[in-house]
Amino acid sequence: MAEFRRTVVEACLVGVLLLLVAIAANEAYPDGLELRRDYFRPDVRPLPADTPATAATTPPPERPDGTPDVAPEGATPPGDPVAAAAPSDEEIAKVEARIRAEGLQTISHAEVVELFEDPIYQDGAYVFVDARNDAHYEAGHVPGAYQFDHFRMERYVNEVVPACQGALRVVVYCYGRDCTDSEIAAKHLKNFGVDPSILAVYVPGIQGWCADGRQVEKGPRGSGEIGACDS
Amino acid sequence: MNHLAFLARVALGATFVWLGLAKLGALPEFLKAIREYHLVDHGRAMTFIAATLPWVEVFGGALLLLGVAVRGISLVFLAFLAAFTFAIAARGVDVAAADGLAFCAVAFDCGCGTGVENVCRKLAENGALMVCALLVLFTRGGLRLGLRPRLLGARTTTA
Repeated sequence: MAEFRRTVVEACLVGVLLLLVAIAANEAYPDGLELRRDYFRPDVRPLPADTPATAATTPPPERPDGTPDVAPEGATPPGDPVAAAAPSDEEIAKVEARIRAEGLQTISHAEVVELFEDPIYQDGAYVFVDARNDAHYEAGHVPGAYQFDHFRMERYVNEVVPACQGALRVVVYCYGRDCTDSEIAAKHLKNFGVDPSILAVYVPGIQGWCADGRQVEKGPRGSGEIGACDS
Repeated sequence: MNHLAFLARVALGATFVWLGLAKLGALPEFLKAIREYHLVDHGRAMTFIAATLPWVEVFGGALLLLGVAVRGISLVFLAFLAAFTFAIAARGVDVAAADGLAFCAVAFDCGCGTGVENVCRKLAENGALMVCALLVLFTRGGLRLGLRPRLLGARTTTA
């Protein structure tokens, strides 16, 4: 009994010591997490001081025909044939409803394709934001999409936020289905000052994009390495 | 039995070092996996667990390999394994019910550092590790060839 009691005391002691060492190791680890941060509840943060302030002063580009290009309130048009063919069924509608209830807009696959194929996409009028991690982004993203992994957003914020603020429409996506990275990233972008009326979450995500037989860009943004999605 | 307990200590220590390192390589994914269990509702608590647990596993496993505070660490790991096993089983039951699958047909990324894995296989692995921890706890063999097998009390090494 005395031996067992000693073991329990030793376990408590070692447990506390290991925890303290773990906290210190996390602080020293370059890829460690910020202990005070709730990664799933974006808070309002100021932009880093060295972020270029282009967007706040530069009006967004206009369409060639001069028509307004502000996203409609709410939602995805019902019965969209392409979106229906994507690998996401009622689940997508459910996720879209949840996202809209949180004050964000969603965008259908058909609308996303339309934006992508619009010639002014190349001029930065529409911005696609991929909210996945490095490995997934580099394996294949919508050509021209910026990466904004919200877990490591300090790496991307200086480039992505000004690009979004200067755009007519910003489309945020992640893997697809019920991945929540795109909505968390969208909330961060909103908190960083991106106009919520131009911000939309593409729920089918890269899965829906690929299911439509669309090509992806591999490697970093602008690599020019365009190809089919990996199965 | 003594040799077996020594091997159990090495296996337990090496497994925890390996699993801890695997988690450290993908901390955001580990954090997301913790969230999927819906056992902890507080965001910062989840962050704390994701940030510290892998390091506890790595350092605790390394100490076990070196033979420092052997029984204390084994007890800590036994508690971890019991908690992980309960959480995995509970989630397996939920997934099986939601998807209409047999329990042993369920597979998901448990956040253990081994990717998507069959739930029954994972539970069996955890069971084997718990047996290792119990062997180290309740036999003298686990203390063999240790730098400081008992942190408290006499500095003895069983050869």
